[in-house]
Amino acid sequence: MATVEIDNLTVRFGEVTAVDAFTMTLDQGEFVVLLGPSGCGKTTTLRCVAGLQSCTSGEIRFDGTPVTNLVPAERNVGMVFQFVSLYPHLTVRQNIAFPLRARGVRRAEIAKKIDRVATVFMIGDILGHYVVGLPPGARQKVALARAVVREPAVLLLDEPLSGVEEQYREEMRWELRHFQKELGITTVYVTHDQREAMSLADRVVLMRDGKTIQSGPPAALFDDPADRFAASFIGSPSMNFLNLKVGADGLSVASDQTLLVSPPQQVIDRYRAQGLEEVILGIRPHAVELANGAAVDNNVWPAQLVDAALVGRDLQADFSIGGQTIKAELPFDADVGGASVLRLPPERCFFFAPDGSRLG
Amino acid sequence: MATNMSDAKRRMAGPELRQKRTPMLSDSWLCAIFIAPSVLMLALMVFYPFVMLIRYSGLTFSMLRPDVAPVHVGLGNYIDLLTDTGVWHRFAFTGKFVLATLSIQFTVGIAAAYAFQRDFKGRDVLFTLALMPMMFCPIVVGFLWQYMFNSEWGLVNWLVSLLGVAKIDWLGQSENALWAVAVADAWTWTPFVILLATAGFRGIPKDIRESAQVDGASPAFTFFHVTLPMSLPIIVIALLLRVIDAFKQFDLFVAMTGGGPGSETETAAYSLSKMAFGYFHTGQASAFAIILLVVIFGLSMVFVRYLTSLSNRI
Repeated sequence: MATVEIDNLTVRFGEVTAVDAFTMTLDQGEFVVLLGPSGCGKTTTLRCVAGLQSCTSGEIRFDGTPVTNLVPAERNVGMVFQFVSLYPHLTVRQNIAFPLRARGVRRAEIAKKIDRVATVFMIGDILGHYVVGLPPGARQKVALARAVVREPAVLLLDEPLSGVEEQYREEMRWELRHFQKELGITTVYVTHDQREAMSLADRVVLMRDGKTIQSGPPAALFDDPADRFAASFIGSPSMNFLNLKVGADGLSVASDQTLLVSPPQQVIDRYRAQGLEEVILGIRPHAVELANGAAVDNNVWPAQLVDAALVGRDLQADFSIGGQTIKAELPFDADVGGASVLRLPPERCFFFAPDGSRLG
Repeated sequence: MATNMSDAKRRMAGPELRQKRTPMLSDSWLCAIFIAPSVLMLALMVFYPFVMLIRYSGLTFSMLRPDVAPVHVGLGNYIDLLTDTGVWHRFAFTGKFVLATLSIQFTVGIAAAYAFQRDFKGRDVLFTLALMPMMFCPIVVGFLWQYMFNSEWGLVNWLVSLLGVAKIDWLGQSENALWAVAVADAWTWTPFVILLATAGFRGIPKDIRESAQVDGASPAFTFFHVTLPMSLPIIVIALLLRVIDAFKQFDLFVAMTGGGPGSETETAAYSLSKMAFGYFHTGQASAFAIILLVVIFGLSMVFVRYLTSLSNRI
């Protein structure tokens, strides 16, 4: 268990910069999720921490001690790979014992440590099995047990649940979270699945093109996205974006000048200061309200129903507003007809400049 | 279908139906036709000779003397062979030879395959060159090494003399000859082991190698506890093929020692060929062939069993 500092980490593969001056500090016992689309540099960052990938520049420190030039074996990290890489020729017990045997730990000591992790991960009954034929969930637990058995400074998880079937994934997430807190081990978890990130992390680091876009507790990323990319990447179904035109007396839907928006004053100040002609409005589908019967006003617009489907207890409906589509997540009994009236509560609208930066 | 149709329909559909009734080859007939040639070949070249072999093994007769009526001796030939210390000596010598050549082949082969894992300049060229000896005809290899091991002017003794050691009579003494032939055999077949071991090593997923690195395993620990055990199935296949082949080794001994001194370097296969086509003791040779078959079959079974248990896990 240790603090981990990643300082200006840069990795280049030829012309491509996979990780670009990435900086992050993990507190002891913290669970950080690196989130981002594929190719954003999250796995490369993780591999640098493990020592499997050398970096072009920058430094990595465990508890203040630089480890940048150490090989993986000298770093004391535990890692679980995307495709569970258990040793197929060994039993569960031998798999878990492997990192200890590799370091010449005494037999009695090994047995004691295995007993302890077997209890934590509840795999005592399969210790004698070979790993081939074990269900994916059990293999994952064995992989985790092997990663933590020698009490590593940091636990690295590279999309460890991607091989687990959807139905078990939720359960595994809860268990993983539980184990991590119980063991109090500093953890870096890489995933492209925002739901996984939101449910596991103490802190989510959203990455794109090798850089940090936003870092913070899951709720902060959801409620206060740093830019349009963060807003669109997090949340399911993803945020609606409407193109607005800047007029003399405010904002209106680009394709229909009669549909007006009233943004907060600070947004007005900002787009005026930047001299923007276009602004993007973002609103999450669950924030869109049905206001049938209400008079058309600022943020209250007539809309044409395009398509609707029941998803569990929600009604997901696509509306057309001045030619632009907007998705709404409504109660299942909402009365959507051919023509409806939608209300976009001003306090739940986000505004972005055309380059994606946040206006308010 | 046709029986359910009304007459009118049948008349209308007439030509079509007739077309469908033309005899079509069913799957099983097609299969039978495809495998018939191989079955025929096997029957002629393997089953028939094998049955005859068993029949001959119970007779005393010589192919050279068809005029002399064969005498039924029952298991007599087997009893004679199995109580003959000479025969036991041949098998013991063959066993020693197999152990000697295989230990060289697998030690050198696996080590070389490991070295070829690393990326270095000219690796592919070197790898291809390393595979060349396999492509030589065995009798040529035999003569080549006979010259190299010649005690008077052979290359090997010249190298030995450089070390200041007295000349060694490589092919004139059975112990030395065993190792000399083993080296020649290993020279030919180590490339095969390199090839298969390389395939085995390359088959290990990258994630597993990296796991071992992260788990803190040294290269040696990784080799003995991950790389080697995980490529074991393919290495055991190589071993099985090499054991069978080495057990039948014949050409190299013909070329290098001629079975001498005396018959001390006669392998079982060599002995068999002399019995069958030197002395033409056809009945006895048939019994010898059956014994050799049983031994090789038994050895193979051990390997195949082990292989099955391995592949159930890995």
